[in-house]
Parts: sequence; C-alpha cells; structure tokens
Amino acid sequence: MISWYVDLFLSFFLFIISGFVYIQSAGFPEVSAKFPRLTAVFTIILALFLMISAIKRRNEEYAKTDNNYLIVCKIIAGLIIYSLVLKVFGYLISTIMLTSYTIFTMKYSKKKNILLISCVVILVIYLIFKVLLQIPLPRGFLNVI
Amino acid sequence: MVENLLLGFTVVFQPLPMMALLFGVTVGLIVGALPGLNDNITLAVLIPITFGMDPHVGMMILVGIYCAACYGGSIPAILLKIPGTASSIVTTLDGYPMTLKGEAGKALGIATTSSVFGGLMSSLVLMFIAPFLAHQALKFGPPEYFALTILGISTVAGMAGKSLLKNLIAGVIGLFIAMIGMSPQTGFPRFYFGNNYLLEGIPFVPMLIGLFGITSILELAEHIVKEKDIKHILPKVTRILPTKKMIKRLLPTWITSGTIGNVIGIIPGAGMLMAIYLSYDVAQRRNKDKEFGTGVPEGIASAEAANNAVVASSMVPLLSLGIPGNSASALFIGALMIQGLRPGPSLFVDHPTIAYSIIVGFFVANLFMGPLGILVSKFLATYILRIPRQILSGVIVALCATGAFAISNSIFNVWIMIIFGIIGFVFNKLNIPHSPLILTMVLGTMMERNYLQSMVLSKGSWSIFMQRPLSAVLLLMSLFFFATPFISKLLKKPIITDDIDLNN
Repeated sequence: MISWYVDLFLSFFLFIISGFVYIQSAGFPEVSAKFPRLTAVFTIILALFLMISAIKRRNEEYAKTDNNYLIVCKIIAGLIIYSLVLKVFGYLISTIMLTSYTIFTMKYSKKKNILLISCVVILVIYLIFKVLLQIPLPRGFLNVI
Repeated sequence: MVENLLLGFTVVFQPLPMMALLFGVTVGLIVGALPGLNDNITLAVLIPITFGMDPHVGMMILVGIYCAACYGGSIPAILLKIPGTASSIVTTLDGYPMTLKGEAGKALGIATTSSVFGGLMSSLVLMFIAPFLAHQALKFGPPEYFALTILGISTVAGMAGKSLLKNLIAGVIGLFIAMIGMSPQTGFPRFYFGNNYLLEGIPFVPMLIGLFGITSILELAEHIVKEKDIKHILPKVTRILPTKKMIKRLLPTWITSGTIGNVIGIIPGAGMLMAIYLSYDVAQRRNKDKEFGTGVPEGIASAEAANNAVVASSMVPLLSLGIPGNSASALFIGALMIQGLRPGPSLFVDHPTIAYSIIVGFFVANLFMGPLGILVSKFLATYILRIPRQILSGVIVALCATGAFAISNSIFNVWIMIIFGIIGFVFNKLNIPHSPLILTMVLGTMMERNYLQSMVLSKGSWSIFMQRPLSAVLLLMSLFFFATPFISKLLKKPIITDDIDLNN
C-alpha cells in the first residue's frame, strides 16, 4: 500500500490533465472534441474517487522502503545524455559508452571487464542491425561507422 | 479454412520460418529462465529486429519467444525458488520442494510436459476459433466494435491489478495518449504541441520498449544493492523425462488446467495469473489427499499447463477482432504495425499467409518446446542462470536504445522510449498496472472512431448500443467484468501464503 498523500497528489495531477484536455478541446471541431471531453469528464470523476479514498486513508501507517533512487536517476541521466550525443559521436561509440555506464552504475564488481563486455555486446548488436538487417545507424562526426 | 491452414503449414515448414521459430523458442527459453527478464521485455526489445525481415520470418521469432518464455520461467522457479517470469510464481510452490527432495529433474520434466500439453491445447483453440471469430467479425458494424472495445477495456480494468480505481486511471491515461495526433474521424491535429513527430500519434513500439525494457532496468537499479549479495547455488539435475505412469497420473490435471487457461486466455485482459491461481485451486480441490506446497507433481502440472494454455488463446481476440488479450499480444500489434499490417478480421482476408502462419507457428513452437526444453534445461541451469544481472541490464539498455532508434531512424523515438520508461517506473511506484494503459492506447482510436460512426448512424442517440443485440450483450458482459473485482472481493480465498519474493 502506498502513502495516502501520493494518491492525493495523483488525483490533483488527474484534475490538471483532464482540465487541460477539456479546455484544449474547446478549440477543436465539434466531432474531434467529443471524445476528449467525455474522457476528461470521466477522469475527473475517477480523480474525485481517488481523492476521497486517499483522504479516508490519511491515518493509516506505512512501512518505509529502502529504495535506491539515486541509481535510478543516474540511469535516466545516462539515457538522456545518450540521446543528446548519439548523432554527434555515432552509434558505436555512444552505445558502447551507454552500456559500460549502465553496467558500471549497477555496481558490477569486475570493473576491468566492463568495457570489453560492452564492446562485444554492441558489436554483435551492430552486426545484427547494420550488416544483417541493413538498418542505418548514426555514423557521428568521425563518419567511419 | 482447411486450405488456409494448410497454407499456414506450408509457410511455416519452409527453412527460414522454421529456423526463425527454433531461434525464437531458444531465445524464449533463455529469457524466460533469466529472473528479471520476461516475454514482454524480450518481445518489446526484439520487435525492431523483425522490422527488416520478411513478416513471416519475423513473426515466427516472436511466436517462438512468446511460447517458450512462459515455460522457461519455470526452470529457476523449480531450481532456485525464483520465478523467472510472473507466470511461474505458483510453480515455485511445489517445484522447489521437489528440488529440495533431490527431484529437480523430475520437477523440470513435469513442467516441460505440462507446458507442452497446455500450449498444444491452446494452439488448437487458436487454430479453430480465431478464423471462425474473424469471419463473424466481418459482419460487425460500428456499434458492435464500440461495444467490443468497451468489453476489452472493462475486462482489463476489472482484472489487471488489485484496485479497480487504479486500473481505470491507467485506462484513461492510455486514452489520453491515444488522443495525441490526428483525430481518426476528421484528421484534425490534437494535443501535438507543435511537434510534427506527434501528428501521427505516440509511436507504439518505442513506447512499449520504454514501458517494458527501460522500466525493468530502472526497477532493477532500484534494488541493485540487495541483488549484489545474491549467490545462486544450483542443484544437480538428473533424469528429466517423466515416466508413463506419471504422465497417466497428470493427464486429468493437464486437461482441467488447460481448459481453464484457454477459457481465461480468450477473455481480453483477464490475465495469466488468474488462470494459474484458478487451476492450482481446482487441482488442490481435486487432490484433497495430497498436501500441496510440499512438492506435489499436480501442483506444478496445474500451474504450467494453465499458463501455457493462456499463451496462444490470448492471441484469439487479437487475430480475430484486433483486440489484444494481454500485454504480450499487444506487442504483436506493434510487430504487425511496423510491417504495415493490422490485426483483426481483415488480416485473414487481406494477408491470409501471415494470419495462418502465426496460428500454425504457435502449434509448431509448442512441439519444439518439449524436446528443446528437455535438452536445454541442464544447460540453462549450468550456465545461463549464472549471468550477472548487471551485464544483462547493459545488454537490455543497448538493445532498447538501438531498437527504438531503428524503427524509423529517429532520435525522437529514443526520447519516447525514455519518457515511457520513466512513466512505467512511476506507475509501478503508484501501484498502477501497465496493461490497461497499453490496451486503451491500442483501443482508444478504434473506440473513438466507432463511437462517432455509431452516433452518426443513430443521429446522436446512445440507444443504438442497446438496440443492436450483439452490442447489447457485449455491453452487459462489460458490466459484469467491471463488477468482477467486487464479486471476487466477496468470494476471495487466499491461495498463496508462502514467502515468495515477487521482486525477483
């Protein structure tokens, strides 16, 4: 069971989303606006139910969990940087770096092997996509791969 | 229909599709056996690989994976008490005690034969029901299709997760996502925020890659400190093939569980877990003299026959009506879409070789699964289960990023993958299930189009949905499925009390 205020926050989020959809649909032709409006109204009803059920649970106690969100954020950051540099450094370099970074961030103990494993894995994937299936992949500024 | 089935067999028995099927089954067995990986993740990650292939070959890989992953999950469930996939949770209950008694090989053999039996049963159901249903569906009008989409959403909303409210919330978020892009009726661009990439809607396959692949990595990253200390001690696996006496003993359990799995599998959104728990419960009732949970062969047989029976039967609504039975079959929509195909009754008319080769593929994949499963069980137990999860994570991230990019050669798809990976992770934290989101995203456009067309037919009156008999029946069925959580709450009886770590 998750904390009551998380559900309360979710209900507020749903109110905002459905309000946004309803207001935006005012600028659509009638036929295109019908379905978004219906969905928005239904979502507001659900958000209301969620809000009531969250408030009802406000006195319940919750066990705190020991979660490692820092590693999660690091992985997400790695993926975002990958998207930004993919076209600059090309597929091979960027993806080898992403794979090494992910394995390293996940605390793999044999650190010396990480780069080697990543190179082998990406080479196999590259051969499948680029050579076997002939799918174009970004070459980067080096323009060799 | 017989000619078309023969056509399907002709396609599947050609060298390349056959090799693809064999490859798919092998991959499925391996990924199913690896805790943390499952059929959804693998299908999502490998769909882009099928993009450049002949659709018949590509589909065979996916069919093989879907069939075998479910069975592969039973291997670590039996040997290590760690379900490789969620579908193997119940197998752990009697599988691991058998391993502790020194009967690991026997337990694996029971799991293999039960899986093959359940799988073959469901592929026969798919073979005969899907074409018939598709033929009938050609006569459906917009009100019937609208009612069908409501039925699909209601079953998944009623049965996907623990909370009906959270299921419905996931469903409406899926509908919002489905609204992005051009309106299906008028072509008017909606909620595209000036981004031309969004005019055609959210790209489906990168979204699924994010929801399954990236989310699984983030989930693993969250628990990585705990994972680091896990060391697997693998038991010795001896004779695997069950005796004739054992087969005779398990036959009634296979038939019962296979039937339950097939019936539940056909209902869109009903889910594999429901079939497994129900089958296990029935097996317990039928064998009152045996103490389930202590290493009873019927316990493994019921769970494995049921989960594999769901696999092919969950493709019945997808192939015949275009409505996915579960998340894995929704991934087949993505696979068909990137080939320019659309599941549903027209697939049988416009592309019979694809439709029938998929159907036959399920049957043949199950035939492969038996001998291959027996052959690779020892190999899986010896080598594959020792691969560190950190390395697997690196491989999955690389495959996800490559696959998302390769679909349309666009970094925008990689962004979609990341965004939906984060959404999937947040959903897990909020106890919101993914399957209603995927289903409503798939059905949203279909629902809107048929709703608007029905309104045109009836001049704006909702009574059209009740005036047409089939649509009325489907809507009443939807009402029943919406009410299912309340009914099950009244009748609820806990089956599992064991300390299974679901995070594994």
